[in-house]
Amino acid sequence: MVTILRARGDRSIRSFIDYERGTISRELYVHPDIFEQEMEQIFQRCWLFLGHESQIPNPGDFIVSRMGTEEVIVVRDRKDKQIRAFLNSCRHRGMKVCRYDQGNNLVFTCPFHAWTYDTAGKLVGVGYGNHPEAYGDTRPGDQWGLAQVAQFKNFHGSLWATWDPKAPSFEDYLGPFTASLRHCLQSSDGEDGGLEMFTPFQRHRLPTNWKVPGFTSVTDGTHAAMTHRSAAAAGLHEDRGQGKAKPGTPFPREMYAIGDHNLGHGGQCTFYNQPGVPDYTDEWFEPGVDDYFRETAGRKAQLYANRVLAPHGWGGGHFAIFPCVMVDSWRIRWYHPHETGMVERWTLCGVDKNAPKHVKNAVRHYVQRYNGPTGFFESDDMENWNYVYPASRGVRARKLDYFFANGLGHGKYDDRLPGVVVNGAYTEEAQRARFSRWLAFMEAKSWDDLYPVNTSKNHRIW
Amino acid sequence: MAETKGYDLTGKGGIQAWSSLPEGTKLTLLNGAVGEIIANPHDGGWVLIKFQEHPHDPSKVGQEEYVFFNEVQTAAG
Ligand code: FES
Ligand SMILES: [Fe+2]
Repeated sequence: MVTILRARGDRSIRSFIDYERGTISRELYVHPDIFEQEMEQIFQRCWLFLGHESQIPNPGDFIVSRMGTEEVIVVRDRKDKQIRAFLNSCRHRGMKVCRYDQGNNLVFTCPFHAWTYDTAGKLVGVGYGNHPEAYGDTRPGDQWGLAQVAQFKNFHGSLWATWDPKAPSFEDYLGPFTASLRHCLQSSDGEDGGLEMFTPFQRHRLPTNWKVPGFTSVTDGTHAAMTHRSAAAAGLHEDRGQGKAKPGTPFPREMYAIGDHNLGHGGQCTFYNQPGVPDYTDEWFEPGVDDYFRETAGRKAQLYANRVLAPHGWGGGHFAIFPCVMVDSWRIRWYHPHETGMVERWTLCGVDKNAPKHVKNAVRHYVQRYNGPTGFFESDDMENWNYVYPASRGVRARKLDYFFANGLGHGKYDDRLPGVVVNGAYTEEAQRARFSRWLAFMEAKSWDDLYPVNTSKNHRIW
Repeated sequence: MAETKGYDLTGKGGIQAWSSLPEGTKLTLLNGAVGEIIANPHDGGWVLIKFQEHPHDPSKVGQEEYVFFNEVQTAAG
């Protein structure tokens, strides 16, 4: 489907991207019609990140997460212990069924007319359901359970869902990034799914379009030098143990900006050129923490003695799963659009689930220093993101284009990640790949036009 | 015979009492059915019971069902 934007005459969405100049119209960030279409064409179809299984370990445990503008209840059933996700909207007349962020429930009772649902989403009670002067044979049956996501995936502890029954499997959706995501969900000794997450979600609400932080600034190689210079000036740039890190033996690796124009994933990733893992370097203030991580790094080195690490973010890099989930080896940050000029950013930070308490505490303190309301770095970012939107949406400002030409024309395919375009570490290859995929979603009638992506169609536009 | 405690489910005290009825409390419903509370979600509306008697539908005996407060005549534990 191609939407016409009346604000700038009858134009197709495609015409707002200039592939040759490497520019994107600001209308794509500020126009409410675009936003509505994104919710329908992208957020209803894509696999979206919901949270982590360690947040709901026990039967009846739930968290309320989001998919795009909507809330979903993610709950572990009391009977079969399976995790499922449901729209947080009563099937009777649409009341928000669950008004807590997390907890443990026997049932979810709607506060309006008392329809009540069990932890598998089944409607198990209706207020006045047995009253002689109420429902009778019109009493709603099983088809009136909570609306369940079409597909759900627990990928090494990370929880994902899509509303689209025709979406490909989660692994096919990830494509060449499957191994990278799997690696980021391992504990420091290389054990699959070996993380637990600090709870609750860290949340920030930002008065900007979701694509400002979620597309343009995810894996934005050139921003840190200036944006985070204030943190460096305050002496906070040394991550974990100021000045303590000693360089290890150099390990052959290279960082690139990479982008899969057909799947939309990409970022600043490090490619490792031989089996094994880089030497562990001491970096923690807190006593005993380096001892723990040195020991787990040794076990990981054994595990990887004959294996090459999957490409992933390192040394400041991150990669993103389309549309807007940013993944590191120690945190997942993602975005929930609310309206054209409002987005919420959520963060989960992980730690080895088998780590001793003093290690978990040290890691928790570190992520609090870095991320979230008490953190230092992200407030730097937010200041930029928040001012971008009002400075871009005025009737004059929106007639201009954004520059995305950094490195345009210099990307190359690389056998190490088939289908992925590799470019200089500080280019905008990942951003361009996101927009290739964005356009494919905005124009596609269904997943039939979107997948298989690498065989019958090439969505790369630049 | 074990002592039983009858709960007063009327008035505002009754709402409090209903919300915290413990497991094992015996309920008699307005339709004459009898069952025992096996779980209370403390939501003020519902409890989960297992039927012990059912005058209109004997197949329900042994079955579990959520019961809304206004279907209930008495509660005794
Ligand atoms: S809206 Fe939920 S019971 Fe009516
Ligand atoms: Fe009312």
